[in-house]
Amino acid sequence: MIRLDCHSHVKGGFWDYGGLTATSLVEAADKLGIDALCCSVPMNKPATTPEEFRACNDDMLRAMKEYPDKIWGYCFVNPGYQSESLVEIEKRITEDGMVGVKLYNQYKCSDPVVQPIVRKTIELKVPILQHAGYLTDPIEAAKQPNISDAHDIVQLANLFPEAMIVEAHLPGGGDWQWALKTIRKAKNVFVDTSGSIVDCGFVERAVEYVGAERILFGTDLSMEEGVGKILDAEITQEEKKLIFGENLSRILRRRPK
Amino acid sequence: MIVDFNAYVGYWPFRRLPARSADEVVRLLDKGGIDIAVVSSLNSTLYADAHEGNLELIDETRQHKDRLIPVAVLNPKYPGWEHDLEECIRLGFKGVRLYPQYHNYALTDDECLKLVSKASEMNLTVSIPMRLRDRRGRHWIDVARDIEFAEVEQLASRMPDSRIILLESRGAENSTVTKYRNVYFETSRISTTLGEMAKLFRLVGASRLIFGSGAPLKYISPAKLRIQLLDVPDEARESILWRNAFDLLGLKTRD
Repeated sequence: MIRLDCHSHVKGGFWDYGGLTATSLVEAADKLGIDALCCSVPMNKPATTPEEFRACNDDMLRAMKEYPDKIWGYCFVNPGYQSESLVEIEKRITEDGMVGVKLYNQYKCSDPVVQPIVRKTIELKVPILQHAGYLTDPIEAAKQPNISDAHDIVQLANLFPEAMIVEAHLPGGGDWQWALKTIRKAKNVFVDTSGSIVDCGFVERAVEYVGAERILFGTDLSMEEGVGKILDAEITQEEKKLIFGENLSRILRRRPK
Repeated sequence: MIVDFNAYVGYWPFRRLPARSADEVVRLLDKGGIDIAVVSSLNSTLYADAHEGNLELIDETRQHKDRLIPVAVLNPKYPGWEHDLEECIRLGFKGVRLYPQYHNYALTDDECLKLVSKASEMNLTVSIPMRLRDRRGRHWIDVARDIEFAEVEQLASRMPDSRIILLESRGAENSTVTKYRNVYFETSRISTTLGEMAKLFRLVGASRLIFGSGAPLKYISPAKLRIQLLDVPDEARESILWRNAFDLLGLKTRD
């Protein structure tokens, strides 16, 4: 059963990620039976500049070159810099072989500034991994005023039915039950299972609400949690196959070689 | 053999758990490959009188004495906890679990110190969850705080004869709480792949690491994978998975 981690990170940019290097990430993945990891190097900074996001993507590319069979990259951009972002995405996807776009919390994804980015991903047939969360704790919510929630994602998905939007770390992004109910009918929205939260029953409920075809295995560097929650879920082997890798394979095959 | 030091029976008021009764929890343990679990009443977190949850728990676990080891939830701010503790010992409880974040007290309050002192005199472990729920997705009415390591340190230093088991103890490896030899660390939230577990192992050794999962609030396999991936000798792994728990609980192996 192939295991593709749709949400991981490599050290780079201005984040250390607990000291994990590309090598130690791949070693950990090997131990956990993870065949490949889709990674990014985002920045948690409201006004990330083009110079900064290009540097992040350079770091991403270095890790891809170091482990071409194991580490695949997302291109991170700040939609506030529209023309620079579009150029960066075009270059990273078509020339450097990145597999998708990572959007963080610079803008809510329901903000119109994000729409040109989505059009570009439709043109290039790649997914967007959208950092998201419905943070019910006021202190946590205040830390990320522009974090997108499932409602923002559904708005965007409805505007662009051809887009492939992945709501990142559903269980690690606050009230996952609220999010599942919100995205239930948005067929072009996928959810990733990453994050440190391992609420027993989460995966089963996700399958019940959105179907296994829309769920992607991910870790967000919570690697034992990421694998363990799928292993434990009381769902069929066929559903586990879809979640662990077949769904992501299907999405990534849409991108022209 | 695996002993899970961090498990529960009962209802969690903010979410329907896949296993609530003792029978259901035992089935979950079977599926997860857990031989014995140390359980407390989840109901006791929000009952006005936490002891009512203990009485429910002892009834529930009676049919599973070989699998479920009950520990008592006591609220030192509530009248009669001394009587309740005595009753719990008579009924067969093997330890104490405190929820200061739900029962609204500090670990350094006089009543709490008195309770910990009394439990220690009776040779009982005192387990304390740093939290039961991640703040990011908490229900609006659940305003329970996370316990700080500094508070635990004060308790540990003032009660040197106690044996304190910190449940959900992520971050301990970056805290000075590790220098207190009467504090033990449950491993369910400590990442092996990010190097947290190895660091904690270097600081406290195998003898103060205790396996736990958080079931049925949490899936079991993530916690098991952490110990499987930990690069330590088999003897140390056995200590973490069950021998330390046996020692703390005064259990004996059959052979």
